[in-house]
Amino acid sequence: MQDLASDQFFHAEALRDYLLCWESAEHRRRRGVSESEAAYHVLEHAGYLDRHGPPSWVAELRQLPAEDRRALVLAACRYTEGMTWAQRARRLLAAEALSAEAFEEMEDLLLRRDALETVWTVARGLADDLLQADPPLRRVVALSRCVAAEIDEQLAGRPDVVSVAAEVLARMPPPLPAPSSLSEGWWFASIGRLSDEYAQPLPIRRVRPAEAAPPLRFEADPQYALAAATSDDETVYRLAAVSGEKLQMRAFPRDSSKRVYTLALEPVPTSKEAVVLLDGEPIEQAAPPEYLAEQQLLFLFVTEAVHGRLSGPAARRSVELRQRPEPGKT
Amino acid sequence: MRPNVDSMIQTRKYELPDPIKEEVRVTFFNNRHHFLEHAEKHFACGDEPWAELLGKETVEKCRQICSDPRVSGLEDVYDRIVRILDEGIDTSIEKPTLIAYRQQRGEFKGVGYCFLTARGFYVVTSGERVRTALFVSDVVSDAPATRFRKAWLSLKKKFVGTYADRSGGVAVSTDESIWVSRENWDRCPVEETEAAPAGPPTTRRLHEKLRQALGPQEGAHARPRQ
Repeated sequence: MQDLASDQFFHAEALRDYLLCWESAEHRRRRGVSESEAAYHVLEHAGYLDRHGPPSWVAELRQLPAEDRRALVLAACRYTEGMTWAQRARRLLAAEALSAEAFEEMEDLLLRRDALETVWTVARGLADDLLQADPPLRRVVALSRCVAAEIDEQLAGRPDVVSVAAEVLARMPPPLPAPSSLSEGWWFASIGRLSDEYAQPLPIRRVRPAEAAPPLRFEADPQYALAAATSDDETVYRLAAVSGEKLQMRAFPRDSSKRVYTLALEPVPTSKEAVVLLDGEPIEQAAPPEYLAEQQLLFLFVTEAVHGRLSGPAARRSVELRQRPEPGKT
Repeated sequence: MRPNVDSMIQTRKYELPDPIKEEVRVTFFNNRHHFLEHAEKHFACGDEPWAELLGKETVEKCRQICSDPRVSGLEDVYDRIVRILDEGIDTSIEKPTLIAYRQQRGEFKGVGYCFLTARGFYVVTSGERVRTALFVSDVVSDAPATRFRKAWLSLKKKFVGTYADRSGGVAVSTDESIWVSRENWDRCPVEETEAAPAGPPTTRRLHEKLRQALGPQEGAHARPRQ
C-alpha cells in the first residue's frame, strides 16, 4: 500500500476536486465544501504532489494572477482558524502513559500537522511577493503560523511520546524546501531527528538501574459533585490525578454472602500495581489481586469491615499506581 | 469473583468479504467505563463532527452523562452510538475499506480490524473489542469527502511497518496487514467528481496538467464505482 503512484494519483484527484470547488460555488454546494476548505486543500494536495516530485504544481499556482493568489492564501489561512489540534494534543499528552487509542489519535495528529506544514509552506511561497505591501495578508499568514506553533508547543513537551509516534512521518515524502530563515529553529522542521536525539541518553538509562517512577496518586475527581455514585450493590468512585489522568474504582460484594468485597480498578497498566489508601494508609487485602490484562482491569479483595470503612462518608480514599517490581527484583 | 459482565455492552456479528471471508464478532467497548472514557474524548467532544451523525440531543446527553454520572439515559446514548458505529462498519464491508492486522502496540498484541466507514470515521478493534472510533478532521465542518480522504490516507500510512522502540516508549509493529479491498486502498473510493468544466482561463493550464496526470492512471485504476 506504500505505492508512490497510488499516493500521487490520490493527491491529483483530490487537487482536481478542490480546485473545482474553489472555482465554482455550485460545485462547492454539491460537494458540501466551504470556500476556505477548498482553498486549504488545493494548497495541501498541490504541495504533496510537489513533495512526491517532480515539483511543478506549486509553480503552476504561482502563475495565477496576484489577486487570485491572494484570495487563495487568505481563504486557506482562514480555514486554520477552526483547527483545535492544540487542545487535542494537550488533552492527549496529559496522560503519563498513552493508551493504544490515544496513540492512534497522536499519529493522526502528526500526519495532519505535516499537512499543515505543507499548506503553510505553499501559502508562504504563493504570497511571497505580496506580503510586504499587504498588511492584512501578512497578518493572516502569520496567524496561521501561530496555529502550528501552538500545536508544536504541546508536542515539544513530550519527546518520549512524539519521537515514537513521529515514525509514521517517515512514510511521508520529504518536506517542501523552504528558505532556511523560515525553517531554522522551527520545532517541526527537526521532528525527523527527534527519534535519534531522544534515543541518545538511552544506553545510560538502560545500563543503570532506573529509579522507580514516583507513584501516581488518584484522589476524588473534582469534576463530580459527589465522590461516589451508588446503585444497588455497587459503588463507583471516580478518581483523578493532578495530571488529569482518571481512574475508576467500583466496589461490589464478591458473592451473596457479602463477606468479601471486590474493588475493580481500571485502567491499570500492566506495568503498575495499585495500592488503595484509606486516610493515607494502605488497606488490608483479603486475597491476592487478580488482573485482566487486555482490559487493564485489576481486582482487589477486601473484607466486609474494610469495605465498610472505605465507603464511610468521611473516608479519605485515594489510590496510588506504583511501578511493578521487575521479576527477580525486590 | 463477580464476572466482568456488563449487561449494557453489545456485540454484533459481521461477515467479512474476501479474502478474509469469515464471521467476526465485535463487542462495542470493554465495559461502560471504557465507553464513557471514549465518549468524553470523542462522541461528546466538539472537536469531531459526531453531532451530525448522532444528533445534537444525543451528543448533549452524552456530555451531561460524562460530566455527571448520576444523569440517567446512559443505555439509550450507548445504544444510539452503537447503532451509528454498526451502520458505519456495514458500509466499510459493503464497499470494502477495511484492514485486518496483526499488530503489537504497547501492551496489546494480537489481531484486530480497522473499518473505514463511508461517513469518514474509522473504528479500530483490538481482538474483538472496539478500542476506538474517531474522525481525522482538521475542522469540525469538513465535508464528508474531506473527512473520508483524510482518514483513508492516515490509515494507509499507519498500518504498515515497524516502529523502532528507540525511545523506550510505546513500541508499535504491524506484522501483517490485509487490505480489503486492494483496489479501494489503491485508489481512494471517494465519489467521482463530475466531468470538469473548462475552468477560468487562469487555471486552464492547471486543469490540463491534471487531466494528463489523471488520464492514463484512470485507465490503470479503472474499476466500477459503487
